[in-house]
Amino acid sequence: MDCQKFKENLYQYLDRELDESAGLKLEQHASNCPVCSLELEKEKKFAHVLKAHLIKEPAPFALRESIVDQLEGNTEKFSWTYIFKTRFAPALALLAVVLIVFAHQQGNSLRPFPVFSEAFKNHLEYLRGEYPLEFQTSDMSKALEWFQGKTDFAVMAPHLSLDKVKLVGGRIMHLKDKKAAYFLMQKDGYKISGFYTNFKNVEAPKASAKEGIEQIKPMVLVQSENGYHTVFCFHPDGTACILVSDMPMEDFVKILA
Amino acid sequence: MFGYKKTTELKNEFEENLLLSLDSMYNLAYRMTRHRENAGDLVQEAGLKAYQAYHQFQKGTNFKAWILTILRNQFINQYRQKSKEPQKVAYEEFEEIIEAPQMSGFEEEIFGEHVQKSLDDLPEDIRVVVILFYVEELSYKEIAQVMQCPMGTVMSRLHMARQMLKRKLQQVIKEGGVEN
Repeated sequence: MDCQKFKENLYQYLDRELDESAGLKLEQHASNCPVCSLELEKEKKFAHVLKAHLIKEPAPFALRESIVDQLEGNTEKFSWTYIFKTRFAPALALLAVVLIVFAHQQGNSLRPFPVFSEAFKNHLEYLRGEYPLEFQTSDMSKALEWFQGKTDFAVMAPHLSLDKVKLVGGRIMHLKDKKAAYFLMQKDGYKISGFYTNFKNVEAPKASAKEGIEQIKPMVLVQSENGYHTVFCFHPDGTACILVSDMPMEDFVKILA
Repeated sequence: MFGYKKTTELKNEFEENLLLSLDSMYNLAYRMTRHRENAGDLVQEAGLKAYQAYHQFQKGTNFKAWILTILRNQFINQYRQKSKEPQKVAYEEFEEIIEAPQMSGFEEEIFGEHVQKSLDDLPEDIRVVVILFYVEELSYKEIAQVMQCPMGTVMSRLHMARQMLKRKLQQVIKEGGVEN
């Protein structure tokens, strides 16, 4: 390869669009030609600076939410929620405050949340290895310390007899759009996923024969699906702990705190 | 027609793909419209169009490239018509080769601050190619698909973008980073 050919191929090479053999020839030429070698370095640096300083604007949360709403009820041709959220945000914020106050007074919540299916799905995705742990420890106090400042609610230990289960580690996860502290635990070879999250402004699930949701204790609900059991423990302060495992239900009940 | 379950599965799959590409869609929409509300509307409309056309999406190909194509078409149909004069680039101007300057760490820093602004000043067609290549890391071929132009055009637009940005860079460095 000569300098002319080097110049012709340079950008395709930098853009990773040059085939391997031509790329090797180009590198070979550069290693023997100081002029072209300098050129290559400068262009590399230039591309690097460009890449490093281009800003990717993230989609606003309101847009993310309204797109999901639109799909979930995709009969609506156009989502007014987004328009409201962006055009009338201040008024909407006020309305939200009023609604939250109202909901508190009523003791009611605002929107239903598919907590069982979300937790179950996340547990399976964890088992498939889609979510690596962000910390590993068997010490619960260390785990709680790790979560400090990472959520806008106080994370507490999962509702299990901690002397009977072994903590493995955890990470931050999402149950749909809700941030959750995730704990991975083990008991007799069974894996248990624990999600601790905030359930304020969200409708907590209720016992329902139709959906197979059973109340086993006050504030504790269970749904079983394909051999997996999902336990939902609700706190008066609005937080909730959700546990998923495939261990037999009678053993699961024994380790619940 | 699909049964209920099938439709739900497809919808979930689409939703998952869409949410993964949402930041890319919004960023491109924002860089094209230069307006946050319009960008949001554009993403919303393109999302709906894509959902209706999801059966045409070929499995195994790049979903992001596919949905950005829809977004871009939506933009051209809906927004660009409104601007009076389509942007034109004097191609001859970029025949000359401008070398990338050798940058010290300091100069790199100075220029870094101006990269996004310099890009925003480029003509729209060129700006989009730069975003698709450097931010979204699409291949020439995928960019050609999104822009609906030959691959050679993608290469020449990228080339022009680099020339323009290099010229800008040299100017910025010369002026010691003080602009306007």
